[in-house]
Amino acid sequence: MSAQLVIDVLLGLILVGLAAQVAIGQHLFRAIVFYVAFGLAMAVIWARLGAPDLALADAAIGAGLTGALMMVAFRRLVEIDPKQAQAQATRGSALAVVIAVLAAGMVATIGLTALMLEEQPGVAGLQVMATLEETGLGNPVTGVLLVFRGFDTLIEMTVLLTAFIGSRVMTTHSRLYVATLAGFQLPLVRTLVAVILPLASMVGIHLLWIGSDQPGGAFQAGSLLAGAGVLLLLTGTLLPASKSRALVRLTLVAGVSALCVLVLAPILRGQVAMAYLGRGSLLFAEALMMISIATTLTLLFAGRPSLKWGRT
Amino acid sequence: MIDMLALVFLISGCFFIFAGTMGMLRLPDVYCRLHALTKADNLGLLLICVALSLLGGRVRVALLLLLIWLLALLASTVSAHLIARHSRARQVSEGDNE
Amino acid sequence: MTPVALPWASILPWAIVFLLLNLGAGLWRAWKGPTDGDRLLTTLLFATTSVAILLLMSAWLEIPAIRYVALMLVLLATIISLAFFGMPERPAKTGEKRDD
Repeated sequence: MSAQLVIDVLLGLILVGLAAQVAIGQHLFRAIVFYVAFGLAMAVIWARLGAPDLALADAAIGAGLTGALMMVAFRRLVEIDPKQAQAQATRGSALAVVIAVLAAGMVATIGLTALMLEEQPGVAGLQVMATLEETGLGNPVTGVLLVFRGFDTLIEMTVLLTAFIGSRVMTTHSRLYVATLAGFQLPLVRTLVAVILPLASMVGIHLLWIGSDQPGGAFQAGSLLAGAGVLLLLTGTLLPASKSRALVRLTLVAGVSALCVLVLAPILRGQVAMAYLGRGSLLFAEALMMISIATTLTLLFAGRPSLKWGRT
Repeated sequence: MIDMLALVFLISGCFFIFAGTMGMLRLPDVYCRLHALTKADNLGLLLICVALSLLGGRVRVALLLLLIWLLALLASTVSAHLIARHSRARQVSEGDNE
Repeated sequence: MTPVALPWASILPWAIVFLLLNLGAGLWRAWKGPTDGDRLLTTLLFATTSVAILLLMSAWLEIPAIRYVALMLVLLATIISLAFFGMPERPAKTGEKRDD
C-alpha cells in the first residue's frame, strides 16, 4: 500500500465527511467551523493535485474570505434572532431523497463512463504548451488566462463587477452592520495588523510579478490583498463608508477596462482583436486586475460602496 | 549525516504536533486546550521547518520557511489570545448570571 | 543538492499521512466542544497542521510554489478568530459584547 494512495484516500474522506457535515448538520456554528476546515482541506488537495495556482487562490478565498463572511453573518443572525442560531431539527423531505438518488445516479454514470473511456489526446493542452514559447511566458496558466482564452477572463472580470453592482442594489437601504472588534485596542491585534499588512502587500505584488513565469498571477495576488483588506475591516483599521468615492469606483472598473484595452488595442495597430502584444501589456493588465479584484472582494465584504480609515 | 539529523527533526516535529492534538482532545478546559495546541503545534512546526530546511539545502528556502514559521507563531498567538479572551468574558458573564 | 542517503520520497508521504490523521482526530473537538471557543480550536489546529502538510508536500512533490500557498495561508490565518471575537454569547442573554 503506497503512501500516495493512503494520502488520497484520507483527503477524500476528510473532504466528503466535512462536506456532508456542512450540508446536513444541524448546528449552524459547527457547520461554519467545518466549512472553514473544508476550505483548508481544499487548498491542500489542490496542492496534492499539483495545481499551485488554484491552491493559492483557494487558500485565500475559500479558507479566509468566505469563512469570515459566514462568521460575520452568523454574528448578525445571533444578534437579530438568537433562536435561529440554535440547533434546528431538520425535517426529512421525500423530495430531497429522490433528488439525492437521481444526483448520485447521474454522478455515478458520468464517472464510470469517464473511467471506461480510452485516454483521449489532450489537444488544447498540447497546443498551449507548444505555442507558449512564442508568447515568452513561462507559466501556462497565465498564458491560458490572458493570451489564449483572454475573452473568458474579460467575462470573468465583468461578472465580478456585476456581482458588486448587484450587492449594491441589495444593500443600499439596509442597516450597516459593522463587524469590527471592540478589541481593536488590544496591542496584540495592532501588532498583527502592523506586521501582516506590509507583508501581505509585498507577497501580493511578488505573486503578481512572478505570475508570468511561475505559479501566481493577478487572481492569486488579488485574493491575497482582498484577504488583507478583510483583515483590516475586521480589526477596525478600515471602516465601511456610505459615500461612494470616485477613486474607489475607478479601482473597481480598472480591471475590466484594462482587459478591454487589451482587446481593442491590437485593432488599432491593424491586428486581430486580442492579438498578443507582449509581456509588458500582460503585466499592465494583470496589475489593474489585481487592484480590481482586491477592491471588489473587500467592498463585497464591507457591504458599503467605499471605505474610510478607522482610528489608527 | 545531515539526512539522519533531518529525519530526527521530522519525527520529533510530528510527535509534537501529535502531542498538541492529544492535548486538544483530552484536556478538560478550553484554556488548557489552547495552551497545548498553540505551544506544541508551533514547536512541531518549527522542527518540521528545520528538517525541511536541511533537506532543501538552499539558504533561500530556509529563510522562507523561517518567515512562514514566524508568521504562524504570530497568527496562533493572536488567535489563541482572542479565543481565550472571548471564553473568559463569556465565563464571567455566565458566572454573574447564576 | 539534496543529501540522498535516506529514501525521502517515501518518508515524507508517511509523515503527511500522520498529519492528516491528526487532522481527522481534531475534528472531534469541533463536534463535541462544549463552547464555541472549543470549536474554534479545530480551526487553529487545521491552520497550523495544513501549513505543515503543505510544506511537506512541497518537498515531496518538488513543487516550490506550494510554499507560497503555505505563506498565504499563514498570513490570513487569524481572520476567522478575528471574525469570531465579538460574537455574542448564545443564547444572547443581555446582548452584551456588542461592538457597534
